[in-house]
Amino acid sequence: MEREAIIKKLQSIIAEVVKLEKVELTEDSTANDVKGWDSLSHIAIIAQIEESFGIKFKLRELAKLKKVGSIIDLIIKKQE
Amino acid sequence: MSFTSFQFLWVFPLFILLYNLVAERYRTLLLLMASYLFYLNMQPVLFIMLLVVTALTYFSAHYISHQDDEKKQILGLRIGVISTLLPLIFFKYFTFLANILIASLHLCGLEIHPLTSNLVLPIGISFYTFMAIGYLVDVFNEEVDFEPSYISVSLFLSFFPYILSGPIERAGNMFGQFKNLKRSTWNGLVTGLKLMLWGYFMKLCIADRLALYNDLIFNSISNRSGSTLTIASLLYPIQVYADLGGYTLIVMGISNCLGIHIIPNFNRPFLATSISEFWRRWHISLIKWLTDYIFTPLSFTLRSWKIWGVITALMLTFFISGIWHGASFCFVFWGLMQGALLSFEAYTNP
Repeated sequence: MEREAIIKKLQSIIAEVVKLEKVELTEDSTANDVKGWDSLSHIAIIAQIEESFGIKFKLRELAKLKKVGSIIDLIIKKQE
Repeated sequence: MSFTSFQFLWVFPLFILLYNLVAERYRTLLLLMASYLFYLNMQPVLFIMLLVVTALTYFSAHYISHQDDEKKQILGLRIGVISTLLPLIFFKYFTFLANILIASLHLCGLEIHPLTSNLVLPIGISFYTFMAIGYLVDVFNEEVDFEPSYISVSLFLSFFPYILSGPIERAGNMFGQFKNLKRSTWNGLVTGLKLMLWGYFMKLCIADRLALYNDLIFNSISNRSGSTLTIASLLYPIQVYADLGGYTLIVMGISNCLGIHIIPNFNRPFLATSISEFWRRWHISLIKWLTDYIFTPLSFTLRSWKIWGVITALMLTFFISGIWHGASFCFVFWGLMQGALLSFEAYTNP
């Protein structure tokens, strides 16, 4: 899956979890850039990503998911 | 020697002078010696606990970082976390846990007198234990590299500005700064002294003055009217904020004078419009620690429970927050109450 397609899918997942109409993301975006993406909604976003992409994250991988770019990297790695 | 003592007022400028006179390569050692002397000056015997936790932290981190096998890394992390936690559990919770056991035995008909006095708590143990655990988890998660310098690890856990009451610093923020200790700059000194001055004002002129009134009221609750108790209860959060917030500003100011940047602990908490926002603005370093090392792993593990996983993680996290603040049922109740309020917020706004 291309990075562009993943980022679009992430935008819709995050918008749905944080209940926003639209979310604009770049590879450098972090939770601080999205209203409502806090520690409480973070796990719901992670769980939704796992379900949508059919992957499973490990607990120690969570700490590395600080930027959207790192989430995309890990999704691609898991899908390979 | 506390930061509000006259002794500190003359020792600190002399120390800043000495810090700027020594060569750069000796500054980490100088800070460590100053931190250890600062501690020894207050609690010479229990200083040994700081040394023990430092050694446990250093060698556990060394073990975790030098293993390729994940199972061995997990084992190293578990041993490191449990062994650094044991002194805290023993000194802070021994009397509390023993009295729970005695009360349980009383229900079974066994009569044992409850313990009345607590053990002397090593100064700063709640803070340096949490910093040690944070560092070990960060090394395990490969967020922070193992620090080979024993001096840097010792200084990280004992740095005199924050050892007494925080902020609970992170290895990732401190090790880099300890490796590059430059001379104080004019701007750093001016900013640092301004922060200290504001901190002293909050601590001495607001918190300590309010404490005189509040202590008087809270020590004789049964003799006070409802309106007096209401006023004291409303003033108490301001007292606590001025006390810890002022103290944090002094810590940030001292560090700034040394060219070191410490994370802030408060961000105008009384402007929060929800409980969750309040906890993102109040005692930030503790809440961030609890979020990263307790709430997130727990809620991740329980993510298949959806909102109930979040609620369980919140209740457990704030139970731990309560017991960390003090070994009594009062703090346990306070922690659970905060957990319940946050859970309600999470449930009604999923």
